[in-house]
Amino acid sequence: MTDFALFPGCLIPTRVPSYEVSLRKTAERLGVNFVEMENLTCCAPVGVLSLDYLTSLSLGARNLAIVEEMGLDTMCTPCNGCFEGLDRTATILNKDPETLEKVNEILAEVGKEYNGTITVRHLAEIYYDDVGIDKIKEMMVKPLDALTVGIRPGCHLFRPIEVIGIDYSERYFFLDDLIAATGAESVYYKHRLRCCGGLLRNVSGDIVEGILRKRLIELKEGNVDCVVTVCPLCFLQFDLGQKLVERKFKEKYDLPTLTYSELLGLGMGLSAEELGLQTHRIKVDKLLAKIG
Amino acid sequence: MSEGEYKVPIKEPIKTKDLDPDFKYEIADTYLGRHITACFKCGACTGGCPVGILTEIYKPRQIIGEALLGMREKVLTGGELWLCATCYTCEDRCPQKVNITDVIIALRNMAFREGHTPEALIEQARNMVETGWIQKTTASMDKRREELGLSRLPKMAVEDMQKIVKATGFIKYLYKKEDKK
Repeated sequence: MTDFALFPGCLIPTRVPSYEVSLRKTAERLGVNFVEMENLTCCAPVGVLSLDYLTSLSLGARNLAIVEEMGLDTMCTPCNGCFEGLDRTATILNKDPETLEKVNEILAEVGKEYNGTITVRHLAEIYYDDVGIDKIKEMMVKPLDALTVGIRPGCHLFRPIEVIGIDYSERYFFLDDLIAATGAESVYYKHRLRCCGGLLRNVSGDIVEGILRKRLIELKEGNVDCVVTVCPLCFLQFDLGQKLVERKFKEKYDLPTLTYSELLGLGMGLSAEELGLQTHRIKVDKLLAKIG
Repeated sequence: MSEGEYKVPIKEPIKTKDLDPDFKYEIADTYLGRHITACFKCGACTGGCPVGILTEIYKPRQIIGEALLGMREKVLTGGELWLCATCYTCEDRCPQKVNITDVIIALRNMAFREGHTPEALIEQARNMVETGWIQKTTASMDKRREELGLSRLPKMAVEDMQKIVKATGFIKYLYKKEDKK
């Protein structure tokens, strides 16, 4: 397996450190080698793209140029926001010399150049394509068979289809196989590939909580034990955001949320403390009791 | 249905003298907005929109329709643009491959340059330019990371970031309301 330049983003290091802990500890055991990136800028995700297209591409390209300087060809990010921003940048620049030239004129200001050679991949893809289902199964020491899981892939893992390079997003999904590899059951519940509204958090609290509440109700109707996501924004929505929805609508969901790396860690026999699960707002005790 | 039951409010008529027929070409001239003129207003976008189902204010077909008609002022200053959660479901379902979310983003770029952006997004972008982090960081984050055995938050290349936003012209719009930074 090739080495990956790890782009952790901002949301995971600052707000969801348990995701970072678990992805590092599981990667080590799965033989995935992450090379640390230094001197980064923001990935310039949709929030920045929405203000200025060229700025978003340029900031993204600067990060891609660093991967080239490291002598690597693949960047891995565990964050859907970074994935969308950087994958879009790479997809556009790797095949459009005219835009690349324009971006490189800007990068010249900071003594950098991007040559269009980097592939950006999400951590979930690395688990699926590079580590593989068999290897994950092999590493499971603690069966998670008792768990039923509702997946939250996070929109930007599989959309926009033009950037991801697929025909249609709302079909069979590889995250289900990843869940099954741990022994847990991925339940098919209504609207499971729909948006959680997270990116509107700064713009309209009412809409965000309305969307999130719909998703929570659907998950409850699906009789899942927990939510499993690979997106830090989904995680914050279903963990912290769930508390806000509970308060606002005077309802109780009590639905623990895990990142996929955390689920993997539990299956590998790592303890909740080792994985940093005590940092979750929705307590995972019930879940741990069920696993035994 | 009797007359009294008709709930949808009657809107003010759209006057052709208020329309900008070149607006759609201005949008089609951008990379993200390049497919706008392919729209035949079927409404698949609004039908699948997770925001549209919750609020009357945001309907993607309406925004695209208004943009095609040339309702420049209403589209760019009305604020509806910013209610898209960018989940890209509409792009997936669009039979004409209009790339609706991308068109919305192209329109947001125009609105930003003309000074019509929600303050929260401006603040977020300023935070990015000033600190390197789009998220606000606090000392307690480092403490928590340390407890979990993680390294301190990395140093971001703030200086480079500022040079880039200057070169793209972004900074000029980001601070245009106040004194120059």
